[in-house]
Amino acid sequence: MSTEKTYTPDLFEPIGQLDKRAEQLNRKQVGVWKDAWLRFKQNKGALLGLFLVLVIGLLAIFGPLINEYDWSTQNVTIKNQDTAVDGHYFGTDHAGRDLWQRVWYGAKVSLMIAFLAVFLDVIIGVTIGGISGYFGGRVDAIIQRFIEIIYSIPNLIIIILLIMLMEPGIWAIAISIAMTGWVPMSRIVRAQVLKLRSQEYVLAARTLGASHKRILLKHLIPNVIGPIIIAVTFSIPSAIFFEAFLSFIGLGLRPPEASLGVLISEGNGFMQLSPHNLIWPALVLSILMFAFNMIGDGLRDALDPRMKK
Amino acid sequence: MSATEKKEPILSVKNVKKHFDVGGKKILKAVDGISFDIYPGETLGLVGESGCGKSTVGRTLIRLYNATSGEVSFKGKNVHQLKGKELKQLNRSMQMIFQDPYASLNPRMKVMDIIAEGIDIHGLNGKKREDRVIELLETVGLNKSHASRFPHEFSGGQRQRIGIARALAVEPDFIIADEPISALDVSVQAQVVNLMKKLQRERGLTYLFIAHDLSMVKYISDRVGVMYLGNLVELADSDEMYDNPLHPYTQALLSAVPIADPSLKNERERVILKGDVPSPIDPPSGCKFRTRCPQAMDICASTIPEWKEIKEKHFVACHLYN
Amino acid sequence: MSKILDVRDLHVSFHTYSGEVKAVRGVSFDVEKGQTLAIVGESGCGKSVTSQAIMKLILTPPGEYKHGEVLYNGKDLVKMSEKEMEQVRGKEIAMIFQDPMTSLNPTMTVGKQIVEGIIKHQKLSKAEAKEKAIEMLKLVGIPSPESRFTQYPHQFSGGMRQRAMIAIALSCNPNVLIADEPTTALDVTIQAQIMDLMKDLQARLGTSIILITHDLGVVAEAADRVVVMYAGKVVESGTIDEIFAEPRHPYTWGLMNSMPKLNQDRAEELSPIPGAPPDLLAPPKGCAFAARCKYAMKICQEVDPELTEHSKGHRVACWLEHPMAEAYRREAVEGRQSV
Repeated sequence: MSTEKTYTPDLFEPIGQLDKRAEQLNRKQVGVWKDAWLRFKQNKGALLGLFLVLVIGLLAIFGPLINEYDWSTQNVTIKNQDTAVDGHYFGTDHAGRDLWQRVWYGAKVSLMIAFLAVFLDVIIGVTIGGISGYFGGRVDAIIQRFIEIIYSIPNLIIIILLIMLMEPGIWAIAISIAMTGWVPMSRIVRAQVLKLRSQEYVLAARTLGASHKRILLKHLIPNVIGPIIIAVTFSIPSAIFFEAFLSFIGLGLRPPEASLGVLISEGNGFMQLSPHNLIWPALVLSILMFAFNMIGDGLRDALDPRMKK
Repeated sequence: MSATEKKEPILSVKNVKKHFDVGGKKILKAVDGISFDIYPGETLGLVGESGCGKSTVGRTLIRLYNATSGEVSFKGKNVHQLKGKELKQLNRSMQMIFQDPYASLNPRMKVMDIIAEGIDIHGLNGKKREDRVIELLETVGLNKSHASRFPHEFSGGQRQRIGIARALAVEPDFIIADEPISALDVSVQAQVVNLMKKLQRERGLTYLFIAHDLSMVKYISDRVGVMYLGNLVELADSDEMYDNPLHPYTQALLSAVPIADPSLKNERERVILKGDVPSPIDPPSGCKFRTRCPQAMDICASTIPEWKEIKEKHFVACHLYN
Repeated sequence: MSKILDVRDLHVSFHTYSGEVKAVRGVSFDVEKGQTLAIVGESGCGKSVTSQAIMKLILTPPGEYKHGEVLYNGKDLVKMSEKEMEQVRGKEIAMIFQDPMTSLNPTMTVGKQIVEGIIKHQKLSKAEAKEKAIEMLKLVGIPSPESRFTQYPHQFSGGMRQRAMIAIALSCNPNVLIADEPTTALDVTIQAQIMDLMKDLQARLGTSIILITHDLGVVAEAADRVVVMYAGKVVESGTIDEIFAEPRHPYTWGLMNSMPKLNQDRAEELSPIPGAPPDLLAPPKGCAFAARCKYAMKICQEVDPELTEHSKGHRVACWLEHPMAEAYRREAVEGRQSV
């Protein structure tokens, strides 16, 4: 060794205490969620999506506080103004209502419907998918046949029937979207549970005498949360879109109520004369769809179990 | 362990079969009629190549699978007929250690909750839950600071020891170790094996040690059973088995193990088997090993060899010894 | 003997979301013609990355060749373009992998997969290539090669697939065969068949083999020289007899002691290496093995030891080799033998 002169003998003292040294964890303590966040952060598109959703979310809640108008008061003297004057940032619509107010109120309604629908999706989908996957065999076969029957009926028919039965409103639309929306969710959960139930930690819980309830709640559901969250972020934009579609074809909320779909539908009638009536709500809708899809992509990369070691 | 003689077996397996329906009217005979006893305080090693059914045996004993036929009696009771309180008691006294340290711990649970699972299920109190877990962590060579961590922060050997602590939490007498070291690096396999031996000394545990690594099995087991395509072909004290293997399959298996000593390279006589293990869905008639056996005779194709005690405590199923 | 492959101070890193993983941190070794070099070490020690780096199979990004060269017959493979590498892969250096299930293309017949390589590298007609492929299948001991030629991988058993992989790898008479854990996924009786086959083919064809494995038993039976890797570095290298009879690095001692001997007394404890390998995202400052080393000294935590030559060809990277640690080393060796 060429550099040996620089070392002093005390450096060659043994340090001992092997037991203490060896079992120290040399990996950084990173929680599962923090780990996912680190990965999510890498994805610039997903961060942009998250930012956009937050901005629109905040505007949907606080936007209406910014000017002094409200979403339903009509003022026929200022119909179809397309410039921002007197605090009408987005102008006014065909009835002289403030479009800024209507767009953010509508965005709030659309988001509420979407969240409600997806919430119902999760409740129904996780329960049915979880039971089907966990018990397997006969139970699974019966549930899957039932799902196939439901899924083979065009969902528009189910929705039209439901809307006819119930008053068109936030709940009615959310329930109708959820009526068929839970099926993909249940399939995801079922596939995951089928895979997880033969994992050794589940077998270990069984040999310890764990009940079905304990295995489902403690071992299976927590490990399916990742795929559920991913599915949710993709379900929200499709629920928003579906709401808009229903309103557009006249099955959803009716004016003067506002949602992004209602606004677009109304704006459509004045497209040539006052395109701003269509442009603003359509822009918000498009940004929301884009942003949620970007978030979903990012989450899929961040939470994908295959990426984990 | 000579002390095991004349004791009552803790576990007695009689002609157990486990068949799986694999669709298309085909039946996979994973375990096809095996019998053995395990005595308190001993370690029985179970070896064989992949697909020989050794893991299925372990899982059938602990009721993860229901036996197709045959009887497993543990401490005098038929395992597959237990219900309610007696079943809970079985879950406490018979435990299992699993193969894959990456799949055997729930990634979303902290080590504290993983180890305490048995305590929670069986409502074991006495000591405080936390104290008990720390005590168990120390038993397996870890410490308090590890309790609040998640499994992915640990290495394979450490995870495997956490799995052992989880099994120990319910104070079992009998542990089935299903290939507990085969997924570990050589350098840490001994961590787990040493720990298992220490626990056996201190707590008088009984083990069924399932593995395919023959040198480790010899070291840890008092007796060894060799399986081939769902059947036991030989069972003997481990020294006897390694010094004097009778079944041609055992002989081939032992001679195929590479030995980490280059000076022995040219001295060993090796029996290299031809071909592959046949499918357990459609196994050969008679003796299942006959298609690869260097000493196969006519009788092997027509008659299933009997499971016989050739020497004292040395069982073999082969026509050569009739 | 002439060097056919010379790896010099190879550094390979992977860029991940949480930082740079230094998987290979300065590895040097050489392979001589017709010999078998074994690279041993625990999972994550960089042995597989090293072998993939030789073949330039590391995807960049996330991987990066930071430094070093891989000289094959004097030409640096690291600097070669992808096009030039195509001429090297398969023809000059071939590789077989651990998992015979995933390393064959399931949608193509085994015969076609062998023929493909032959046609690419040797200017043979289709019929000649087929003939050669059948000959290769026969060579690796696959019974009735003519009918096996038209079968798909799923019709082969695990051992057969590994044989087919070897046939593909050897079909263009490569000078070097890299075998990355070729028998790990196989049962012992099949492992013995495959190792025998590789030795036999080496004797006949004169191929140099790099055998990547964690199984010291396989090393002892097949290798001429051994490189022991730990945490992305070579800690010891030498001939098979030197490594097994006179190992000098405490990690090599640990590997040897953690396995039961043939006649191991059951009452005696094995001596495992405690703990786990370091995280290569942030490798320790000194010797990477210091945290798990029974004989660690202060200097080991401060300065990484260099690989120094103990005797010709036997190289060790350990501070115990330093003259100032001589007394302690002697004590350690005695202690080791008494265990």
